[in-house]
Amino acid sequence: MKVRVKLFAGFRQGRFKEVEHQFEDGITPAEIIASLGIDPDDVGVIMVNSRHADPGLCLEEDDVLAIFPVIGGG
Amino acid sequence: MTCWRSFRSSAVVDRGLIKFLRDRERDGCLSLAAGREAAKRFNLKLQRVEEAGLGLGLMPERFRRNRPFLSCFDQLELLRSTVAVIGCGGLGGYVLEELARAGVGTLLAMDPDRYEEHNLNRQLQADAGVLGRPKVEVIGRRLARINPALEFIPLQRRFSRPEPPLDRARVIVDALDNIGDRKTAASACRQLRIPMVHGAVEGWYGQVAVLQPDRDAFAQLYPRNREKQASGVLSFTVAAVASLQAAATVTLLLGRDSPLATHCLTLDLLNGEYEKIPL
Repeated sequence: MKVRVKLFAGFRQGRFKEVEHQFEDGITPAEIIASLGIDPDDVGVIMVNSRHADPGLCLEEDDVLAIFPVIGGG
Repeated sequence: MTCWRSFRSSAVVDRGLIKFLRDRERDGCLSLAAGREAAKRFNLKLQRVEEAGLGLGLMPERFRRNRPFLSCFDQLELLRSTVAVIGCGGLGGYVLEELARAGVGTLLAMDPDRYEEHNLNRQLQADAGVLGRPKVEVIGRRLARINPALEFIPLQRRFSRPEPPLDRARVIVDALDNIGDRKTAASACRQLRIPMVHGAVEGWYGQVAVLQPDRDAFAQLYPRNREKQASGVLSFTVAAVASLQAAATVTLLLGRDSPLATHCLTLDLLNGEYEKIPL
């Protein structure tokens, strides 16, 4: 199934800004995050179709997944 | 009888003060020198003199250029407001300076740390001459020169719980540098029923949001993370995020709707991109 993945801030470095990709059915944000070599502890907000989502959510065809890094410095 | 005397005496001072201030008004403004002269003559704090002046429609001269975007009424509202800034490093230093220059009357500043050399890249009040000195002390001295009517309350300790005098604040600014303390602060704000203006930075990236006490929007920003220290922070990112926090604080104090109350704004200064995450 086709899912659009959008990365933000430092997650883009060495990766991409936005891609549309074929994934196996039922793939989760957590699995996509792992496949991108992103440490789950570095992930802040995850959104699917502009709504906050859990990393274990099963994605569906044409979903848009947005992954933001956690930012905590001051 | 004592009360009547006190009231009568106060009324006489007020009438005298009003005449004094009106005599020295220039183009709707009151100079610092005139304010200080009135404070001395009527044995009042400068802040009380300027409060009386604003009530008469007289803007302190140093806020002349706030007009017309901040009216005398707005300025009076700010003067009567208390804001607590937790964390006085990169973000907190800028937020305190901007709120003092905007005319907020009372600022509580909490931070346990002293300036270190690695603060010089981004912390507004850090310079080679203040290394080793407590941040809240250095900032307090600088702000007293910028806004002499300011009441500045330094709290040189780490934030741990919603204790006095934080409960005096109308807004609490989260300018901390770690997620654990931020979560504690967010929880304290909900307990105290005080809105929290959140800001965070890392490198070229930052985020800012207004968190109202009626719900735990903070958990949406930090849903699952363990502690994580920022790898680095750049000066302009700090200034940008802190300025958005200061502006959001002023809008809250003036009772205006904050555009950041329903969204977290994320900033990517490397790519010039700004996103709004619904909260």
